[in-house]
Amino acid sequence: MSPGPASKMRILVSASSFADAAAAMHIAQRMTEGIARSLGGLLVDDDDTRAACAIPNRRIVSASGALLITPSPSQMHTLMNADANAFQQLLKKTADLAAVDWSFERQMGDLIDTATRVATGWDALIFGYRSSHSFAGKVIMFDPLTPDDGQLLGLSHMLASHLRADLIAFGVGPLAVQARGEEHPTKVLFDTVEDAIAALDRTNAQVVLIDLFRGPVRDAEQLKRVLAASRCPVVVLGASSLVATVEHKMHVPPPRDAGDAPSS
Amino acid sequence: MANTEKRDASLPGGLSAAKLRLEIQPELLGFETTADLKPVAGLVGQDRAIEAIRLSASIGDKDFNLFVAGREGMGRHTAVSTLLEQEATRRPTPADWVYVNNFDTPHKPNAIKLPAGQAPVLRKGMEDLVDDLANDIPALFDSDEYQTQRRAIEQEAGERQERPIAAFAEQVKEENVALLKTPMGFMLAAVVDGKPIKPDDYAELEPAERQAIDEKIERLQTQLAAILKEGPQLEKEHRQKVEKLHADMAERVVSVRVQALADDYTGNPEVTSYLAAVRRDIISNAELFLENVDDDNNGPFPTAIHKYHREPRFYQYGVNVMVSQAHAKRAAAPVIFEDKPSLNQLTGRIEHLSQMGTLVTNFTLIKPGALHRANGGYLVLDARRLLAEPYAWDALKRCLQSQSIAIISLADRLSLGSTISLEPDPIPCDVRVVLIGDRRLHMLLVMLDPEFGTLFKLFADFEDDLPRTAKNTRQLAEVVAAYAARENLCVMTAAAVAALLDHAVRLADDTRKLTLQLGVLGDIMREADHYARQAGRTVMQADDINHAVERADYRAGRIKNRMQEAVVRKTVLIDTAGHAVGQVNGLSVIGIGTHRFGRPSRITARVRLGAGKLVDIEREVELGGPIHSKGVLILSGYLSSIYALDVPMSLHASLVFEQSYGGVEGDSASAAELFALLSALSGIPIRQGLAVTGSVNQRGEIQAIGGVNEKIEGFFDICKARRLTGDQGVLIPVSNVDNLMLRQDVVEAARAGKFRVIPIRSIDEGIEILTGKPAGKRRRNTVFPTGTVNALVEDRLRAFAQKRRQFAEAPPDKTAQGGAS
Repeated sequence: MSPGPASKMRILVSASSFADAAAAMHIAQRMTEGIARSLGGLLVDDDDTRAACAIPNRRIVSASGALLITPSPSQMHTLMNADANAFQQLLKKTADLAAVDWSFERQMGDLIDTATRVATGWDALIFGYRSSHSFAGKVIMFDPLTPDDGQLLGLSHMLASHLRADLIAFGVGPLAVQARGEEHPTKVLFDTVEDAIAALDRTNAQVVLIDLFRGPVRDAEQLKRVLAASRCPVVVLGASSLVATVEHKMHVPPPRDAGDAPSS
Repeated sequence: MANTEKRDASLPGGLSAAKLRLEIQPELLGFETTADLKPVAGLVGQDRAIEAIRLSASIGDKDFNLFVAGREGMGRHTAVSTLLEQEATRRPTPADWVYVNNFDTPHKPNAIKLPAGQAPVLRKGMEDLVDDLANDIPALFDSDEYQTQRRAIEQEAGERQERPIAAFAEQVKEENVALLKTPMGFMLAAVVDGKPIKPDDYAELEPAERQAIDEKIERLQTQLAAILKEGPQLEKEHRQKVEKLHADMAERVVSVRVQALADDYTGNPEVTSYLAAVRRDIISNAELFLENVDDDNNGPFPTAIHKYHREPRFYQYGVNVMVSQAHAKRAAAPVIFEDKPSLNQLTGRIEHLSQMGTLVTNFTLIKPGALHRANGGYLVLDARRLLAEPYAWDALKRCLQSQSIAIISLADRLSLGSTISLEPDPIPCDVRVVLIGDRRLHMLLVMLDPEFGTLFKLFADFEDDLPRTAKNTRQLAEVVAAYAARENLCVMTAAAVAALLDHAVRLADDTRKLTLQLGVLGDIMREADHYARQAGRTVMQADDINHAVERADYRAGRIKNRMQEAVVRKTVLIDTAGHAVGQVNGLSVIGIGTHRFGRPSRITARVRLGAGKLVDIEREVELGGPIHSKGVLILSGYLSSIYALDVPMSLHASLVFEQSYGGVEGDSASAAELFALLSALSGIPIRQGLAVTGSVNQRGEIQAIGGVNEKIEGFFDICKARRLTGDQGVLIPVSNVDNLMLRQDVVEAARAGKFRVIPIRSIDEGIEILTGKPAGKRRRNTVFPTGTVNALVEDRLRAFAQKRRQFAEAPPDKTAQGGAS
């Protein structure tokens, strides 16, 4: 269950580099103004990225379009340490300004898997994604499939207001519900989540908001595609539901007869 | 050695008391008190100077600036002020000048000329414009119209950026490649089993497969780089569109407001041009006016009445009023007196503010100088102060030559400036400069500065005194009455005015003149007024004036009294009775500040056989000035041309001012020195009760000297302190009789026969009085009468010559004895 709008939120910012984290912190900063209780930072040292850097003759394309030589493992280590340090400093500064608690963690692994696992107990998870241009985009929210207390819509409105951006709601399926008690934004309806993600891919967005608990994006794979398509920070409510889904598929201790295991 | 004797009946009586002090008679002034007089404005006896001032004030030529010369206290400042103020009313009120921002070249602010009194109006207009726009522009940019257009631009730019990236992402996905993010940027990796390929898996691939992957990755990398390189160009286009939108939106409101202001200045192309530049700048910097959109509108001074023009960010739209006639008390050209004519005070200055430890400036920090304030009128400066200020005189000349006021700081002139500065437009200068100084300064400027004569063609030379005619006396009395009225002094009786004018005569050093040192006379009047009021009177009497003069002398007389005391106590040896050979009392004047007094000096002469040399001991020890030395040499000329013309001058004489320990200058003692010399040669003693002053020429004529009153009074004071015997007095040149305006006590002593002032025309006349023996005139047989002074002198000189010849003819072992006395 997500906290109500009156509650103070615990916000976790997750990124695989400082460039991504900075974009997410820009959003987190707006959210800490009045509705945050504590702020967390998680820098995930991505396995795939490290592995890719080890392949010979690869290049990195910088944000300005320059082709750069891939860093060596030791250089990569140094870069990540520097990013972690910068991330931590920015986190501390933002938390101090908002007078909230803060914590910082660094882990190895896949960004989404690690972040959703760590996000247990956090109210909101923000995935960072570096900005490749300066044009002010829209605020996109995925309309929950099941009724909520208006938290996602309220948060979306607040961010749209702070960022002076248009708010657009992506509704998926015939059962897309309208939020209650809030002025409803411009709404675009899609038949499937894939259609919505495809549309998101073509949209200039500043931030995307989803509620994993109430859909329509529900699993890690969809979340990964949303993050790739948005090319901007993604605010995720109900991130802990991903972990819960995994746990309910398991028996602790394991059943003697695996064939009799009940499914959730 | 002096010998005392009884009263000498052979001594001439001297001048009558009436001639010693030619007083102004109160009854001839024609009024009882100054209340009867109509106070007159203006000056007496300064027609020459007034003509020069009037000419300078009214002539159009730019180089007819004026130098006013005269002594302190002659009323130069008052005269210049009065005359210039009169002339200023006939000249048009000058224009206003402002500095405004130069939007193209900010470090060169523009100067704009405005009709008189219009500068504050333009400044207020610009302040209102800023205030209005600071309210209008945010409202405009908050409108739906602007927001819609802005969103459209943002959306278009966003889509243009997203479209190729989205297409690339799709292509990457289709080609089974993953887009990874690293701290340095994006990276592409082939996907195997839904995951980016691992290095080990890649190594195990066939070379052909690896090559295919590498080629694909390289192609996609190049493609991504090309897409991302488009970003800056897209952003530039986006920025230009936003700027154009802002400009288009701002132009609507800005044009209306600026045009409303420009309508008031349609006849002034400079202002119109400036306002057009303001319009362009505001339109292109409209965001400057958007910074206040989040301001609290609920305070005691809500946004609508906020004075935005006071905020530093709007300084470039300000108007710096350099000079304005808006608050002038009358329609006339300005007359400015600058008491501190430094470079900055004269030409203006550029001030700086400290920001973050650095000095910065802008056109609003340009401050006007005296030349700006006096532009179109008159600027009056004290010449000495002006020349004492570094670079001020040079800057003034440059301004007058170029007829423009350029503000260049001292640091810039010396290339010492280490911070940003401005080069404001020079403001055209049409000012008449009046320098007030003294004659010496004027002469130095003429001699040493070739540009001075070109720029200051007129010279107003204030007279020191005016002729003592009945008309002038009456006019000066009216000036005195006007001064008393202006200074709220007591009413003066005619006797008081006469006493004051007597003092004016004394100050003029000439009974036929009246001084024009009105400042000194004013000081006496104020002091006398104080004594009158202290005595509870409302009318100033002659006694008050005389008391003021006497007390002023007393206050300044400490040194004089010390010197008199030294004489009375015989520390300084001066005989005032008896006779002595080769010794005479000379007189000199000592000046201490503005106070002068006379003192006697003993002059002695000694003679002996020699080779015709007259030794001036003062000159030998370099205590004698050149004029004094000249006087002594004239004595030599006199002796050699009068006596023993047929024999060589075989005299060795020495002359000295006894107990003189300072410098001796002037030739007023040359007659006394000659008398001492004649006494020494003739052996006839000189009366020590007499003192002598006067210079002498080679023909033996006595010539006029200065300070005759002080000299007589100085000797009188010594005699009086020792007791007046009736045989005492002073011999003065007859040409100095007109200068006599002696103190009342001297006059009274003369009237009582206790002291005498004897005028002499020649050396012969003087030596007869001093020795009581006839001088003797050369007869037809070329000899002087026997027993006369001249005969004795000549005999002595001949004897010297004879002995000298004998000495020359005698064998070396037989030396002649020469007499010395």
